[in-house]
Amino acid sequence: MKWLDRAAVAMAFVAGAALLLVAAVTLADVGMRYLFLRPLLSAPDILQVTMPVVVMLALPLATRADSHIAVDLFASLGSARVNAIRDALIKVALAGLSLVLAWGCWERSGEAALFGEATNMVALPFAPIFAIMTIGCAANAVLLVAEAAFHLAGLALPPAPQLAPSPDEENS
Amino acid sequence: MSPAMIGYLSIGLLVVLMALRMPVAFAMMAAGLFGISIFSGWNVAVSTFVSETWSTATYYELVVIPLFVLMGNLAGAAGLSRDLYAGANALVGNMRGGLAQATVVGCTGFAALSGSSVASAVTLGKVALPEMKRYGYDQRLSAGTVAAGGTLGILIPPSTGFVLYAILTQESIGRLFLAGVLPGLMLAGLFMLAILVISYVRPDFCPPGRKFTGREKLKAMLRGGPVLGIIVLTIGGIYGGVFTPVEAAGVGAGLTFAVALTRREFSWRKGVAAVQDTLYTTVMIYLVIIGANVFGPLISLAQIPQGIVELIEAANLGAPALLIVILGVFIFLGMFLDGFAMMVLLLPIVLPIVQASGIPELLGLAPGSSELTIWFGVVMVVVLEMALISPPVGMNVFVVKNVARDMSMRDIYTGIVPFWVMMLVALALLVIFPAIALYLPTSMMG
Repeated sequence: MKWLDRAAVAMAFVAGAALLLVAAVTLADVGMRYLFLRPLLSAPDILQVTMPVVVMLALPLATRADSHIAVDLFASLGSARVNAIRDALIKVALAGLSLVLAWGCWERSGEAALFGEATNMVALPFAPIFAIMTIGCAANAVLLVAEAAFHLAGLALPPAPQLAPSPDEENS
Repeated sequence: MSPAMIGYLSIGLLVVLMALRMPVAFAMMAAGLFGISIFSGWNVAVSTFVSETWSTATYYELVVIPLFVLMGNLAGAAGLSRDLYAGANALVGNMRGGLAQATVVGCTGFAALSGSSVASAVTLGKVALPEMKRYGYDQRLSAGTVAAGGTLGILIPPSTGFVLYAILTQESIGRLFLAGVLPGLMLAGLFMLAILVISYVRPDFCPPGRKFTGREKLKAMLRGGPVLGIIVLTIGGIYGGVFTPVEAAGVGAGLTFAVALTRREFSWRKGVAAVQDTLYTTVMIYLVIIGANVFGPLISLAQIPQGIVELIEAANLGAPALLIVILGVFIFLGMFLDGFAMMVLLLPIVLPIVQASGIPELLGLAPGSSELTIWFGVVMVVVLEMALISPPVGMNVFVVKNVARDMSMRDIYTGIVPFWVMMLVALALLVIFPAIALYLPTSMMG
């Protein structure tokens, strides 16, 4: 789990950097337009290819942090063992969905490379972005299977890793 | 198998998966894949799944979500909420229930910085709850004020709720943001009225706070200057036609970061934590939209809204009764479902029903008009706000509990009741006077 967590953190760092790039490019576009009357024509293209990187590379860490919306009405089904089996089955199903998406993105990556699909203004290629999405989804699937194994073994999941120690920890 | 049967089977699968605690976004993806694969085969289903993921993740307008969320998180990390609260306290602290009133005003201000109710409740809660405790405020009143005040985050622009609604209905984000301004201020006013009434009925709940000298007031308000500047520039920029919502969000995030750098309490660790929280929210919202985009078309394909409309017509339910039923169902489901999940699950079914019913006529709006969609969006977001503080799964209640660990859930829910009633009053006013939501977008944007 340690290595998987490290991989999730590394991917989330890239996602965080990509998010800051999105903010910087948007700001630069506005600044260039109003200060120099020269908008950044590549800005929409950069945002278009960066957001899938943000979402899919942050996905594994978001999964580890359990930050997805779930309905907690039946959080407990009975004994701890039954709940653990339920959680394991759901995580295996989620891993399956992630793998389906990873496989689909991988296929689209090949097609995008074959047909030279790219953004409109500055021709940023789509193929590498689909490949990055594949990596994010596949990593998410592996992480989910590992979490399912923890549930089945009756072990508590280690706490989700953080990009940086929380400010509360920092202050203490 | 008939299309309707496939649709109902898919809905059944969705409900079972959600009950088993599969995240809502993935449950919608799974149910959508299941239904589409029966309709058109597995390859088409997978292809739809991938193309909807791609088109959502690359959708330009959606970039406002991570950028406005980043702006709010950076503002919280830089302690700007403290400045807002201090300014609000100087402004209204002398009123009856002054600290609680200041909390509502601070929440209103922070709502204009952040699109997230949870972020508003966390940041203002950390500042306001200890202060109210210090002055001997009743814990229930303090908790209720923070939890309810925080919900203003998704009504007052920028609002993630409105962005999500705009994406799902192909409506203008700018018009929806404008539509949220007056209802947001009205709701804040109703919350303040509730506190005022409580202060007369139970003066012991909110002892008088300290008095501010003119100099102190000026100083506190000046400290809030940068925050007000960011709000005026970003939100004002959208309405002044200077920025698109995406550009305003980028400028807002950049300016907030610049102000944060000047604050001693801001550190790179807090900055990284703000980015991490933004990533979590971004992933959560994008996945929900992807799930809705995979599952939503299936609902139309299975002609489920038409089936329900026929049932309603057969029941001969009048427009007022139908509206009450719809709002009642929303409020009831909001007790169990997350607000965003409720929106993406129910909107594809309910909006066509509203449009095809006598409700537009009741409101004096044209069926299928943009005004109707915008009005319904505002109503939906107010219901979302109610969901955020309704038992048993009100997210803002958990947030307040997390900040004030010594408080019982029972006390927090008790404290929320007056504010929940005020939300109900706001809903009634929106139904009776749709212009509260529609005046600004129609007068400013046509």
